[in-house]
Amino acid sequence: MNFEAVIGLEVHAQLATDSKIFCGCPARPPAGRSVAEIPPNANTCPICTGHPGTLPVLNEKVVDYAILAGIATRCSIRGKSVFARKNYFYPDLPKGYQISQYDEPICEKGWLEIQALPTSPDKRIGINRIHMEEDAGKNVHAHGYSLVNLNRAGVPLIEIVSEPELSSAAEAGAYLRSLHAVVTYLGISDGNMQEGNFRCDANVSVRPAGQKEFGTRVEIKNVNSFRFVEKAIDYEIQRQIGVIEGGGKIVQETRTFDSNKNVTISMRSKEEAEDYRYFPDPDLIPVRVTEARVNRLRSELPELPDAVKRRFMTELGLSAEDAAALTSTRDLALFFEEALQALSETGIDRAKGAKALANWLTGEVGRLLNESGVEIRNSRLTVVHLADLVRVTLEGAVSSTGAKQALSEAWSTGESIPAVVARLGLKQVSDLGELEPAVEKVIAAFPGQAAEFRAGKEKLLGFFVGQVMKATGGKANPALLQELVAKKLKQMGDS
Amino acid sequence: MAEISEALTRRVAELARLRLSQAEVTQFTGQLQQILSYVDQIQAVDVTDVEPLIYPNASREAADSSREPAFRADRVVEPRNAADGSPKVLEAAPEIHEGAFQVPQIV
Repeated sequence: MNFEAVIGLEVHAQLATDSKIFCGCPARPPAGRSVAEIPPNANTCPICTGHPGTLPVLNEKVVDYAILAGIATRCSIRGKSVFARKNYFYPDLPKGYQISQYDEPICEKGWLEIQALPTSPDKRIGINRIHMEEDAGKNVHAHGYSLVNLNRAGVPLIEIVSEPELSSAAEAGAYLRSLHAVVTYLGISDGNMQEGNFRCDANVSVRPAGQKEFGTRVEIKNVNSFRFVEKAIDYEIQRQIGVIEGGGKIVQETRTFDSNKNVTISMRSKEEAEDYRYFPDPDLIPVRVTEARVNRLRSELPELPDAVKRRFMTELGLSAEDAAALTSTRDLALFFEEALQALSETGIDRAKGAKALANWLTGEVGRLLNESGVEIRNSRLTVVHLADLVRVTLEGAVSSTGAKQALSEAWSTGESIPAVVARLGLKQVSDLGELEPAVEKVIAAFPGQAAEFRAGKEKLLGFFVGQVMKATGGKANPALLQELVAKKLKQMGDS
Repeated sequence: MAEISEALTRRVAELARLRLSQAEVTQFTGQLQQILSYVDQIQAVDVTDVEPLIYPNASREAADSSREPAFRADRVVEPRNAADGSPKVLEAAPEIHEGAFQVPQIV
């Protein structure tokens, strides 16, 4: 039997506000510090720890950021939305309920365009809703006791719920990347998955191809990287098909992904939605949002990743793949544009420079960033490094091998490209007067091969080029050298 | 009227992480049933044209739908510390371990 998968994603994005959603406690560590460096409970007060008699007051920026997310995903913005209490009993939640939104969320019914592969057609994925809510605290379980840290309690989140319209792990990955790009371009979330400020739960079910009704769904909780989400969904689809084909039934449950074994594991049977006993929070009056506010936010909307990507393709002639990679984060796209600007000022053709820059950023530089887990803005590399690197290779002053070496030096020390090139003697010899004697010497040393070349065995050209490279310590300009060797081989044969 | 069974009482107790004896299950099942009968009396009132009252100042709020609520500006108010520099909230904690509230083992 053929099966098809039905996938819906719930993304929690932490909003990049300074203070929490309902009180003035810091919502995140100071710049350059990580969450782990903040002492437990240092960012708490009577409000976010749920003391009796306290009242929440809504942070205006949370409303603005949620609306921006809604506008960017073509949602309709509700003029009136309502906070509700989601009741559950667990020590990460001091009040005994989470303040969230239920039947009247701030944004509804939007969509996002995705491309599962650079070559696939665009697919529109519906967004069911975006709502505002507070995060819960963090529990650490030890032997015989548990510890509660409420620094995260009350940190503002938006939850973005997709329609169940994704049909493969690749589509789910593309949707997440696209959504991640949107929130980071808007500047409303840092989107750092390792720090937990962009988290994803996936609802996965399978059904016989063509069947209308959905199969029983399983929720995969809190997977913390795009790649792991894809792997977890792939595994879950295969697991469910296996269960059904083996005559079994899918149990509605919550599972977690084990990234070491690449499997999903059952966590607990899911409580029914009714068990949360949602009701409107009487401490918070409905959130009225005026047209004027929505219009002001709409006018402040920055250029979104889709538009930047299209611009890179049409104006600079970049491939869809390069354009997608360069626009995956706003920082990388800005870095690329600034480097291109610096490069254009040196008189290099924009399209040519753009292509070469894209190659470096998606290739060697991308590899260094991935390996170190550093964001480009936090690395030692500057736009000047990249512009210099592209310029010296396009001008033929440094070979591509030499340029890679220069990049690796600049990466670890921050030294300028011209300085590294000078210090390591990476400049390639492009002076014919300097190369000619070396070429003649090599040809004279291999008379047999020279004769074979002249008799038509042209692939021996590479052999001679290699020999001269060896003799000159790899510094000869390869294009120039190839031309010169071919010319000399013919000339010396004629004489 | 909805029937409260002993099984339902046990389920609610489980969700609230309460451990009940059989005597308590019997007792609470009866009491919950009584509460529901009381709610039934209230539900008998016809409220077809009455707006639900959720918020104490709902009438003022409804009178002017163009009015936004009083928001809080996104400004940090530094949390208070105790005299020894540790977070003030921990003063109320019965047990503390390495700056965290210590509670009975959860999992």
